[in-house]
Amino acid sequence: MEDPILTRLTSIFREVFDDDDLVLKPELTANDVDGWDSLTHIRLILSVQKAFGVKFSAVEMSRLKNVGDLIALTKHKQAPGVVT
Amino acid sequence: MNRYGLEFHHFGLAVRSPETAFRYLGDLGYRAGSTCYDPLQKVNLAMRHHDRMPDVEVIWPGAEPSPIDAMLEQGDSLIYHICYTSEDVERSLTALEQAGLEVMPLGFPQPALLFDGIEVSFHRITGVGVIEIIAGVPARGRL
Repeated sequence: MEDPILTRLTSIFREVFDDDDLVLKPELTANDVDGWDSLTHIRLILSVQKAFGVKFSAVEMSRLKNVGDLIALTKHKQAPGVVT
Repeated sequence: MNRYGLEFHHFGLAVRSPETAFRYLGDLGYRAGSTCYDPLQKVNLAMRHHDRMPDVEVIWPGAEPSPIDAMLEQGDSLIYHICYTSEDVERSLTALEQAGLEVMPLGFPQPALLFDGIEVSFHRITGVGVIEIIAGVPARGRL
């Protein structure tokens, strides 16, 4: 069964990086994706926050090391009872 | 120490090519520090030290596309970040947000080749600009 959060994140990544073939893997970092610079990083974070209606703190964002961490943080924020 | 736990380290000066900046800083009495190409940040880096003036990190693009390319399209040089050290980066970021500042990371934290692999991170503070935070205090003598 498809993970709806992962599906939506994949859609966001493909839109931000303008790459319809982009496949999200947990170990993916900025160095693996063409065009992932500081500006697209901001667009990506803002897009994820808007799409999921969540707000990441600076500390939470600073702990992100790769896409897997971003997926996990988004899922955590989406969990019932988590205040963002 | 200030409320953010940030201690000034250097200014980051982005240029298209470094020769003129090197000559200017040299004439001011700056001496050369470490120089390297950082493959993670995809830029060339060169530290310049001075006994009575703030340290300056000269940054210029390498052969591949770099994070400073778009900025340099607006002009040929720019002091675009202020770098600080922090003994506790998470505490510093929390303090910045608690002070009502909007902090947005500009990427994932990465080890900095110029600072012996110590982790650095870049953040944009709305209304202030871009800051770099070095986690811990690199040994100045090796820079």
